[in-house]
Amino acid sequence: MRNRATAIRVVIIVWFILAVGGDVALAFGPIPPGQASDLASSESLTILLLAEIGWPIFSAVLAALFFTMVVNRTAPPTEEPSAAALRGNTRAQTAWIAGTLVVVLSLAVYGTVALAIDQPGAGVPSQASALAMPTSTSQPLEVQVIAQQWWFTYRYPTYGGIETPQLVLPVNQKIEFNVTSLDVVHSFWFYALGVKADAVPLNDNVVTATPTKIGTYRIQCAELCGLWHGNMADNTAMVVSPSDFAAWIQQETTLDAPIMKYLLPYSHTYEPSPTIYGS
Amino acid sequence: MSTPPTLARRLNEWGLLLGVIGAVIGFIIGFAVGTHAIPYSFDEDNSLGSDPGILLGYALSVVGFLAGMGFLNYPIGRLLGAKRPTEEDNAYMHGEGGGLTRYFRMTTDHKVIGLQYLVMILAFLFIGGLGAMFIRTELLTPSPTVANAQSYLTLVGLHSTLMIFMASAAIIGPFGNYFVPIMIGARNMAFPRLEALTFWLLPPAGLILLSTVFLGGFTTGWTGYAPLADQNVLGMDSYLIAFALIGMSIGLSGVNMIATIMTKRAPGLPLSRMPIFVWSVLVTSFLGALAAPALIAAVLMEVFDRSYQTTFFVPAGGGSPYLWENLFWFFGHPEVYIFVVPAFGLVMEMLPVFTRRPLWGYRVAVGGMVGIGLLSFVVWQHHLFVSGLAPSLRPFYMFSTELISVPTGIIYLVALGTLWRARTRFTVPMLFIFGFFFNFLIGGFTGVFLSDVPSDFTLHASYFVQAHFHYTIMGGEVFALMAAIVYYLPKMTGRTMDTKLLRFQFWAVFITFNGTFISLISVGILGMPRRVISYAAYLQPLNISATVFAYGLGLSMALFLGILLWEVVIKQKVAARNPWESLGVEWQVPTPVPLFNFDQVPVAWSLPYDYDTGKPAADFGPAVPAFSGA
Amino acid sequence: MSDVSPTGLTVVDEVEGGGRTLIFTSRLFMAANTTLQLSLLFAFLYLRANNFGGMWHPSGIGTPPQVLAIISLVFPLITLVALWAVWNAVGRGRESNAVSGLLWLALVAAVLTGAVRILLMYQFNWELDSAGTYAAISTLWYAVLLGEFILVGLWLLSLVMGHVRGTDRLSASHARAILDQWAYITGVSIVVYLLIQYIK
Repeated sequence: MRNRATAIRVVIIVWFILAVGGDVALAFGPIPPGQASDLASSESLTILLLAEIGWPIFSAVLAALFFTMVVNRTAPPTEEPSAAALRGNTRAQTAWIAGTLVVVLSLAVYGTVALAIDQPGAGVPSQASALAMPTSTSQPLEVQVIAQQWWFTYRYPTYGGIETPQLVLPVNQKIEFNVTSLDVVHSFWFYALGVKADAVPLNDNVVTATPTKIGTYRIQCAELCGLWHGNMADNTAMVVSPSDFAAWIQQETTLDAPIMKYLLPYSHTYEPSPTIYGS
Repeated sequence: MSTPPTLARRLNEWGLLLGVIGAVIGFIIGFAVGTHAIPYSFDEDNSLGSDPGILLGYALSVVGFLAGMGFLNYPIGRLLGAKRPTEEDNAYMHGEGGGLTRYFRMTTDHKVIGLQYLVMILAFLFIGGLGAMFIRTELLTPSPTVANAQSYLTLVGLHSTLMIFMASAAIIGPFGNYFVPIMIGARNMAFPRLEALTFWLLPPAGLILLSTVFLGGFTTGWTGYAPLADQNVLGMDSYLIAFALIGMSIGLSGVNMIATIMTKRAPGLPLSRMPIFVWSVLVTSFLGALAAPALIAAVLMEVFDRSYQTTFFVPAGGGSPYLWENLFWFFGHPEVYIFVVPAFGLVMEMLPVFTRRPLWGYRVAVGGMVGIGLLSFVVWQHHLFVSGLAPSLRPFYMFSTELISVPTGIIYLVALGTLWRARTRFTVPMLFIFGFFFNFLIGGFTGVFLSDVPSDFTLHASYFVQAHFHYTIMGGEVFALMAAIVYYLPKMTGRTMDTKLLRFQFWAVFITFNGTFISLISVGILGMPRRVISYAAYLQPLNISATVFAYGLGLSMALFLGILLWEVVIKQKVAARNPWESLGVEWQVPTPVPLFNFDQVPVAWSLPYDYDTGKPAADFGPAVPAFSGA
Repeated sequence: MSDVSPTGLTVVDEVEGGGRTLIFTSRLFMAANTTLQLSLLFAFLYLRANNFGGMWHPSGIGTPPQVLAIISLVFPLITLVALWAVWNAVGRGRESNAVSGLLWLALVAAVLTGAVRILLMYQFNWELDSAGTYAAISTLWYAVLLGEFILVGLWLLSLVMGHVRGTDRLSASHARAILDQWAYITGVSIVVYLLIQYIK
C-alpha cells in the first residue's frame, strides 16, 4: 500500500505541474481571435478564461483516469483481488455534482454578463436612422453586409448608400454590421474582429465591433451556401485610419456615381429575387 | 422441419432478390406516376426526371423492397382475417434451421438482426471512411485539386450523412438488439417483425443516399439547410428520402425497445436492477421515439417545397429558413445523444467486469443518463447562436447546454469510482475504454467553448466544431463500438480476436485519431470554416498534418476490419464461453445462444455486478449449470 | 451447480407482455405522434407570425369548406363511440353479436372518415405554389392526419376481419389500444380543424 501512496503523490505532483504550467503558458500564449477589435478582445478573454478554468479540471480528470486505469492495472495472469467493493458514496457524489454545478453556474453567469455587454448578433439595429452620421467614435457607423452566392458586398448608408465589393473600415470607430442575404443562408465571418453573423434572407442580423488595429484582413463565409462556398472569401478587407477611410469613401462615391440609380434604395433587408426559386 | 416448406417460406428464402425486384418495380411505377400525374412547374435541369417522380419513385421502391422481403405478408394476412401464424411459422421466421441464409432474409430473431446491423454498419462505416480519405486528400492543398466543387460538396454530404445514419444505430443496432432481450430475460423483442423492419429500412436508406451521385449530388451537407436545399438538383431528393427512412427507423426502433424493456422483463427484474446498458438503451429509445418525428415533419415540408413548390423555407414566399433550422436541430440535438448515451452504457457495463468490482454509484449513473436525455431536448438553439434568431433566448440555451456537463460529468465520476483502488485487468476492450474516456474528455471540454456564446462567436461553424463532434462521435462512440466488438465477439460469433495485433491497432488508431483531430482543432481556432474546398494558405501545414494522420487513421481502422474478418472468417479460433469472467446474464447463456435464448426464463436476483461476492445476477433454474467461469 | 432452482420459484416459460404491451405501445406511438403534431403546430404558428410579404394568407385564399370539414369530424366521433362500446362489451365478456355490429359500425364510420377527408382535401382548391404558407401547412397537416386515419383504419379493418372470420378473438386490451389511438387522432383533428378554421 505504500507504493500506492507514493504513486498517488507522484500523480498529484505531475498534475499540479501540468496544471500550473499549462495555465501559465496559456496566459502568455496568443489567444484567438486576437486583439484587433473590442469584440475580438472580449472573445479572446472569454476563451482564455474558459481555458484557464478548464485545463486544470481537464488534466485532473485525465490524471485520475491515468492513475486508476493505468498505474493500478494488472495483467490477467497475475490477478490480485481488488480492494473492498464500493457501491457508491453519497458524499463523493454530492460533492462532485455540487462542484460541477458551481462551475457550470459561474460559467453561465459569466457568459450571460459578457453577452449582455458585447451584444454580439443582437438581431435588431441599435439606431433609428441608419443615415445619420455618427457624431462620435462610440456611436455606431452602420455598414451593411449583403451576402449572395458567392460573394459579399457592402453598403454604407451614411455615405449615400454606396455599394462596394471591398470592405474598408475606419479604425477606432464603432461599426454596426447589418448582415443580410439575397438568396440562401450564408455567414459573415470577419475572424480578426471576432465577428460572425449568419446572413439570412429577409433578416437583419446585427453585430457591433470597434476595430482597433490598422491592417488587411480575411473575410469568409462560414455557412455552407452551395457550390463555391469555399471560395466565398476575401483577403482584402481593410481597417484604415479615418483620413484614409474618408479618401476611400470619396473614391468609391465617384466610382459608384454612374450606377447609383440602378441600386435599390437602402433597406435593412431586400426581397430575394423569386427567379432563384424557379416559381 | 418435417413438413414441406410452404410457398411463403420458399419465397422468403429468396427475400433479398425479390426485394430488389420489388424495389425496381416500385421505382418504375412511382417514377411514372410522379412524373406524369403530379403537376410540376419547376423548371430546373430535369433531364433525369422531376422531383415528384424521383421522390415517389424512391418511396415506392422502398415499399416494393419491403414487399419483396415479405414484410407485407403478415399485415395483409391480418387485413384479410387469415389465421395467425402458428408456433412453427414463428420459429421459422425466427430463423430455425435457417443456417447462414437467415442472415439474408427477413428474420425476427433479435440475435440475427444484431449481427445484420453489425455487418451493415461496418460496411457503411467503411464507405464513409473512404469518403473521409478523399476529403482529406482534397484538403492537402488550399485550392481545388483532385475534386471539383460539386463533387467535393457531395462527398462531404455523403460522408457526413452516412456517418450520422450509421452512428445513430452503431451501438443500439448491433448490441442493443442482440443483448437487451437477453439481459432482461426476454425470449424475444415485443415486436419482432417491427424490429426486422427497423433494420431493413437502413440498407435502402444508405443505398438511396449513395444514389445521389447519379442525380447530381447535393451541396448542403448533412444539415440540409433550406433554402439551399430548395435550390439543389435532384440529388437532394435522395437525401430527403434517406433521412426520412432513417428517422422512421430510429423512431420505430425506439418504440419497440421501450415496449420490450418496459413490458418484457423477467420476474424479479424491476427497473432498479436492470443492467446499466439496458438503462442507456431505454433513455436512447425515448430520445429516438420523441425526437425523430420532428425530423419527419421537417422532411415532409421540404418534400412539399420541392415537389409542390410550397414555400415553407423560402423567405420570398412567406417561409423561413429558421423553421428548418429549428425543426432540424430539435431532432438533431437529441440525435447526438442517441449516438453517445448507449456508448456510456456499454462502457459502464464493461468496467465492472475488468475491475472486478460493483459498478460504483449505479443510481447516479442512471440519473445522469436520464438527465442527459431530458436536457437534450432543451438545448437545440445553441446551434443557432450566431444565426440572428431570438438573441434574447441565448442565455437560456447557453445555460442549459452548460448544464448538460453535470450529468455527463457523473459518468466520469462513476467510472472513476468503479476504478478507484481496483486492480484493473488491462485487456484490449479496457484499452479502448481508456481511449473512449480520453477522447470524450477532450470532446466534452471543447464543447464548453462552444456552449459559451462569446467564445462560440469565434469558433462556431469552424473546424473546431468539426473536431469537437468527431471527438465525441468517433473518439467516443466508435471507440466504445470497437471495445464492444472485441468484448462481445466471443458471445456473438463464438470466435475470439488476436490480442497482440489488437493492442498495436489500438495505439495506432488512438495516436492517429488524436493527431488528426488536434490538427483540426488548431485549424479551427486559427479560422478555417467547415466544408470548404479552398482555404487560406497559412492553414496548409496544419491541414497536411491532419491529412497525414488521417491516412494513418484510415489504415488503422482498416486494420481493425482486417483483423475482424481474418479472425472470424478465416482463423475461426473458438472462444471460451465466458472469456472475461463476467457475471452478466448474457454471458451465462450458451454460445451460440439458443433460438429463443432461454430454456426457461431466468429469475433476476440482483444487479450483475456483484464481483465481491461472485453472486450471480439471476437464477436460470435447475436446467442450466450455475455460473461457470471461463 | 444445483439440481433445484435456487430461488425455488416455479418455472416461467415466457413473460407474456401481451395486452399490456399493446396498450403501452399504443400510448408510446401517441407520444411520438405528439412530437410530429407539435412540430406542425410550431410551423403553423411560426409561419403565421413570419408572414413575409403577406404570404401567410394572400388575398383570395379562403378556409377549407366548413360543412365538409365538420362532417369529417362527425364520422371519427361515431367510430370513437362505437369503439368505446366495443371495449366496454369485450371487457365485460359480452358475446360476439353485439360486438360484431359495433365493430362494423366503427369500420363503416372510419371508411367514411377517410372518404370525406379525401373529398375535403380535393375541395381546398389551392394552387400550392402561389397560395401562401397557410394553404401549404394546412394541406400538409390534413395530409398527415389523413395518413394517420388510414393507418389506424387499416388496424381496425384487421380487427374486424379477424373477428368476423373467427380467426382472432378480440381482447379487451386490443380494443383499448385501438380506442386510445383513435381517440387521440380524433382529438388532434378537432384541434387542427379549429386552428385552421379560426386562427388564419
